Amino acid sequence: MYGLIWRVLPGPWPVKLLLTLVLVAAVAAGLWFYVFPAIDPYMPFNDGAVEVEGG
Amino acid sequence: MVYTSERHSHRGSRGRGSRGRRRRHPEPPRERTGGDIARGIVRGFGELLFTAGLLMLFFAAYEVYGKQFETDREQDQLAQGLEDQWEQQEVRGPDSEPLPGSANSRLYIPDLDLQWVVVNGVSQEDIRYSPGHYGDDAVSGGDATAAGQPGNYAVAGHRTPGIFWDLDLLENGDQIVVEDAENFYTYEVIEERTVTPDQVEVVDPDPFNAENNEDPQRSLLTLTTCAPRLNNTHRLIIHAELTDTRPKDEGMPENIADMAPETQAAAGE
Repeated sequence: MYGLIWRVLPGPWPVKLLLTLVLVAAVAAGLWFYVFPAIDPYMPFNDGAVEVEGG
Repeated sequence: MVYTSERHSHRGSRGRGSRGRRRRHPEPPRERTGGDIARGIVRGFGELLFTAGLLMLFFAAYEVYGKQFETDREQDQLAQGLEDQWEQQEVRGPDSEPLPGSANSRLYIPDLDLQWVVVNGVSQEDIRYSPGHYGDDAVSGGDATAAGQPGNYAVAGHRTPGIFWDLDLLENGDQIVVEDAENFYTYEVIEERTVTPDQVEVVDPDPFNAENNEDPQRSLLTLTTCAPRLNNTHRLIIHAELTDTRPKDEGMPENIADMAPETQAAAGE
């Protein structure tokens, strides 16, 4: 999987490294700002912080 | 050309058995053998596990640091709306139904150096980024107590950093201050206990004596949150009793005076 990504990226290795870092940053930002806030309400350790259901 | 074809035939003659593997190893593989496929699968599986581990660690980091940031931002917005809220409340009359999710009061815990805007309502939506006041629908008798009045001003909050994370550090005698449109109410912690989620009597008008629920004598404050941390099997309950009421004209009580500048800045925005 990671090997495939490395092979698909164009250019010599410094370019590949740079592209990899950009990819990693983009994925991390997407998770942090969009995916995690979206799935957070469904996490069991948040639900039911109070005893009155739907109150 | 001759060399490669030779090598090819050489490999072929050796067959795909495991016996020839060790000698063949230094040469670059040209054909996919069963071993290559097996290694590919194992490697792919390992990479998946590795990725899943990274994702979970990253999510854990978000739960601790990212949410604190979101909470702070949301609190800033609520603080801006709080003064307006109080004015509207006056216009609409004190008995008017509060808007769910809107700001209700300000809560200070000087010993933990924490303060929040408390919203109306305790649904998941309401208390996502701030503590929420148990409204009329959420308490027995259907009549929630306003801050400072005889009865039980109950507030729920998540056990997340930025909200009620350190609530277990409170000790008896520690002060909790609630600010509404007119007064500062100082409460002192009188009891800390852990209950199961179905023990809803902790937010009753008189959690210590159910017979007084119709006509509560004591002015209490109750904070509820998850226990243990990042789990929801129990609830941590803090009970506090009113010790002092101070009109806003007289300024902030001394116990929270050092928290004033931030508050005023937030209110002035």
